[in-house]
Amino acid sequence: MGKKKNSTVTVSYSIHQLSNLKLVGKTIEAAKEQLKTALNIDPEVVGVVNGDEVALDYVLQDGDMLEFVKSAGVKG
Amino acid sequence: MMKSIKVIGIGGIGTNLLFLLCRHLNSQGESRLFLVDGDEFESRNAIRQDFLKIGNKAKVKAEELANKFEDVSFRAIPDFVTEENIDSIVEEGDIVFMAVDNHATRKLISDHCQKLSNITLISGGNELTDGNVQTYIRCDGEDMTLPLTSFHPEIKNPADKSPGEMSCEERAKQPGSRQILVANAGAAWLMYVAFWLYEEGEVDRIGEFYFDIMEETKVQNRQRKGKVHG
Repeated sequence: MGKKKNSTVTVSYSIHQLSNLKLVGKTIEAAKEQLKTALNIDPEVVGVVNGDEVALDYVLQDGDMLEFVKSAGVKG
Repeated sequence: MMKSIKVIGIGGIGTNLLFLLCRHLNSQGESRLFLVDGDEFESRNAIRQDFLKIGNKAKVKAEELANKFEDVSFRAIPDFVTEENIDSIVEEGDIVFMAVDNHATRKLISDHCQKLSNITLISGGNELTDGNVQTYIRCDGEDMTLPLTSFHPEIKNPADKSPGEMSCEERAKQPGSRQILVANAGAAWLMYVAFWLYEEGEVDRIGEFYFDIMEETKVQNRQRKGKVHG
């Protein structure tokens, strides 16, 4: 039997993490638009895939770990 | 060798951090702790900031702590960090805790640390009910973790000004936004967690910590290792 293909993406933002999202083939920009309400994502955040910053037109691949990096707290 | 530790920003996060840090240091043998802040304590912040009297925050707090912790040597630096004085405040081999209230100072100090060979910088910040802690470690000229500006354009290109860049009038006009003790204390605790991991040699476990007290009081540790610049 062939190995089951992983066709989902894990997305994290701040304390949140969502697994098994069917975002393969979508761009970072589209993923951000789709998840902005569920995760309350700031529009200016940077997208990081598997540890590296990526452009908004990066197309998500099988098994990618996407993080939208939440802005740092300003106050103290 | 005696540890040289700088705490920059003695406000809501800074005073709550010092409560933990001084107990830790006092049990570890001799260390020097420098408290850096050019601001004055205002009684309206007493719910979040732990001071016994009005005055310059660094001076008042250093005096209070010196009476309590005998094995720690305290020194107050009653100034804001600026481009002019940063060389004498953040030095080779320091462990720096940054608990300031603006991204301009975060950028200034992070950029300065990138020029040093050995430095540990632990920075915390909060909004009303959430916040984060970043840790930047350089060892023998190599980055062990990411600088504060990595993946954080709001720090790389700050929209605000540091208090050291402002006149007294400008500082007085700064709008005060609501903060709560639990958020300051959350950031302070996570800064101490990062320090404890560093002291234990668990650098690989130190990512960027996030907390949110409105979301089941969760803490998340995000590891990002893709771009550590040598």
